[in-house]
Amino acid sequence: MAWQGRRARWRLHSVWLLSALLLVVGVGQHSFAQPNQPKPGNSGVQVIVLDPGHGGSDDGARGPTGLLEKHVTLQVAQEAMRLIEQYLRLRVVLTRTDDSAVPLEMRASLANQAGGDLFISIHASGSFSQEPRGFQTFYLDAPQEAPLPLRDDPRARGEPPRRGQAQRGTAPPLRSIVWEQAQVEFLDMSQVLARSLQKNLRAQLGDEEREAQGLPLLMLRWIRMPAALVDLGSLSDPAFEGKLRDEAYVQRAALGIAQAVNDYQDLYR
Amino acid sequence: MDSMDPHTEPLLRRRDGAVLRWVLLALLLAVGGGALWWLLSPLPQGRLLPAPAGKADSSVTGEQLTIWFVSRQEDALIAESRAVSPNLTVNDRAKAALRELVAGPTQEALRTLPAEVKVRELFIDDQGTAYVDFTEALSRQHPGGPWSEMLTIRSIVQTLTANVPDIKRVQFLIEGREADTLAGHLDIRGPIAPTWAAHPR
Repeated sequence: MAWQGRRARWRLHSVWLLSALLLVVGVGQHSFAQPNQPKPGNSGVQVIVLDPGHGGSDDGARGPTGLLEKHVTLQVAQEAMRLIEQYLRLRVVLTRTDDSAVPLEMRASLANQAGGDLFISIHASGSFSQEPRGFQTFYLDAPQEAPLPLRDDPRARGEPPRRGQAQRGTAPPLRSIVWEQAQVEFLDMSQVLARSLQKNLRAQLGDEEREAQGLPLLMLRWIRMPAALVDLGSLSDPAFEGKLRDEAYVQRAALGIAQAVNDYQDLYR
Repeated sequence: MDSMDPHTEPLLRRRDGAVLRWVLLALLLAVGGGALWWLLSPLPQGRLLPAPAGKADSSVTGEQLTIWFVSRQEDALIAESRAVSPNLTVNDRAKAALRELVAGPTQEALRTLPAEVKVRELFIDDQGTAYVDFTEALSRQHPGGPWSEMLTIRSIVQTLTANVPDIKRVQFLIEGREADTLAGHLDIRGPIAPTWAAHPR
């Protein structure tokens, strides 16, 4: 009987030990999992994530006759996907495939989980003027002066500071730092991607003097791969809205994006 | 009773010592816990260090406001002057500047905020951060796009910091709450200084 009791205790301890081990491994994987390892200078561009901006209840910009940015971005992304898959033989992941609302954090998470090698967010824009404003590409340029807002920092939730918090410099949770700093090591390559997009869109859509520019783009902060945002131009301009209704123009925009992916791939081959 | 067992006395002494140690430990825990609670408990209103109310009482002299709009090419901020009552309080001067910004330009420039926008509240803390609470129109009626968002944010920050020396940076609030972006692109979660996205100049 004694040996049976010892055996039962041993089995119970084993189960506890195994559970604890699984929990520790699971939490570690969950907190620090890096869906795709950093690949600075890696030639293996294989997965392209295309992000059609807005969607669902979020229409984005609206043209004078009612053309919505969310429809344009999906159309361009789907056409670019077809070209990239067909001619470059690369896998393409879309962050949305229909008129659904996908939050920015979810888009970034989808891209990171898909193990993407390049991320291109596709947008059009609006303006307070109906003057033409052509395409422009952007990369992340986070301001140095503003303190980095952290998701789990009470200050980010508007809660009052606790006594002595500022002096002690309360350490923010590691996970929010990893999330907020995801783009940092890809900033240079993101600029290369943005310039390649600007050059190839210029070749397809005509002269545009603007250059690729850095802006504090929220979603790009969280993207763990070279990332850029394409603004196809101002939908508030009636002439440009007319162009975007033309399928041939949409195809040229998509071709510019596909060609930029090809150029980037060649650069890091 | 006088003839106490020789083994009992030391035993009682040990017990007394143990009780004393437990009492001391409990005291230590109570004092330590109290100190920890005092350190970590949120500050009640009455204990808030620098009283922000002082800002509202101070006044700024000057009969001109400089309001920053954007050029027709949307590549530069352009200043226009407006007359304003002298000796306004800091808050009233800041609100007056924002009202002029919402009213729009009178010359060759473009507006940067939807005409429907109103300022619900404005508060300046002792660190020079202006918390400006806008109505929802600021995001709902915004034409959208990263460049347009940048122009809106920069014109507001530039207008406030140029006219009210107490303001060093601006924290955007929409309908009383912090927002991630104005229209889905630029990060406005933290206070924004005039050097933020410093183009166009």
